[in-house]
Amino acid sequence: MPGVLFMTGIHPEYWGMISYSDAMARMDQAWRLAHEHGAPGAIFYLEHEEVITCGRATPPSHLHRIPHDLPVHEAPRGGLATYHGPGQLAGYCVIDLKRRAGPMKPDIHEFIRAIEEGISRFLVVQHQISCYSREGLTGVWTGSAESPRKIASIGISVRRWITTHGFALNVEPDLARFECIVPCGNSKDEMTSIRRECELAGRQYDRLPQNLIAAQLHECMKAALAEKGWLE
Amino acid sequence: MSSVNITMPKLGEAMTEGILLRWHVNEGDAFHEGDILAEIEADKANMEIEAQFDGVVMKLCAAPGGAAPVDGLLAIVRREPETGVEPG
Repeated sequence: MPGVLFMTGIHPEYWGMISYSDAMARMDQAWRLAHEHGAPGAIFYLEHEEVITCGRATPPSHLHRIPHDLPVHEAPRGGLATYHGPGQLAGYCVIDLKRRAGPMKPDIHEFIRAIEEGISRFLVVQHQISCYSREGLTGVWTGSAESPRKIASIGISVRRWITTHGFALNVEPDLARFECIVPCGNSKDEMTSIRRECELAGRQYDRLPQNLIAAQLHECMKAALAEKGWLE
Repeated sequence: MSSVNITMPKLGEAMTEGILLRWHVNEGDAFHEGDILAEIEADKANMEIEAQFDGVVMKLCAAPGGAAPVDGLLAIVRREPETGVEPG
């Protein structure tokens, strides 16, 4: 039945520009709805005001060059320090990893691989930017193997098999702002963005409104998650 | 007395080890079902280890920041209350 098909799939919600603390409060509320009331899976797309967030294991030496006007929050997610700000599209995933098709078990790593795949597909299909994952690392890179450039970061948290936190895709943020931290603990990581990659390839980048970018990205994300068994 | 081992969970097929990020309890602490005992990390994913029953922490066997293999011992706890009629 087409009506039923239309209703399936992890649903997107667009929050626009939002402070880090407001986003955390709304994300936690969504987690409770999923846990206590079985609310279906969702990805919340948003843009943050400028903020540095650090995963639990971030060494203080990764944060020593932060300007005074940049707030720092500890985030209970995986990964180390990262920067969020205007021009970056963040996606917070509240998805019950147990709700998987067939006999497949909940699996955090396959979930992270699906997120990487969704972002990569979007970048190829919409922007002709070819991407790859790197063995032993989490995130999405472009460029050559000798000089990889990171275009998206991922940091997930799981409680009772329901995810929170998610990913951040650099659309056109101020890349210089990443220089005040050691992004995700890797000092050799060069950060890049969709705009920069288009310019390097000699193409003009005409930015769409962020909610349309989110809609395009979500189609790829939904398909990549569905292929791994996360259908709703 | 029934002691129970808290071990490094397997969060996915590809996981062989995890990092203990921090304890939320100390030795001697009582906890309730649903309390968070520890946080672990594997491959940029955090997971909270929740108590599955009421109990008391007897021994923490792993230090924060260290890696432990899947099923490796993290802590030993005692299930409480030990009341009622023991079987046998």
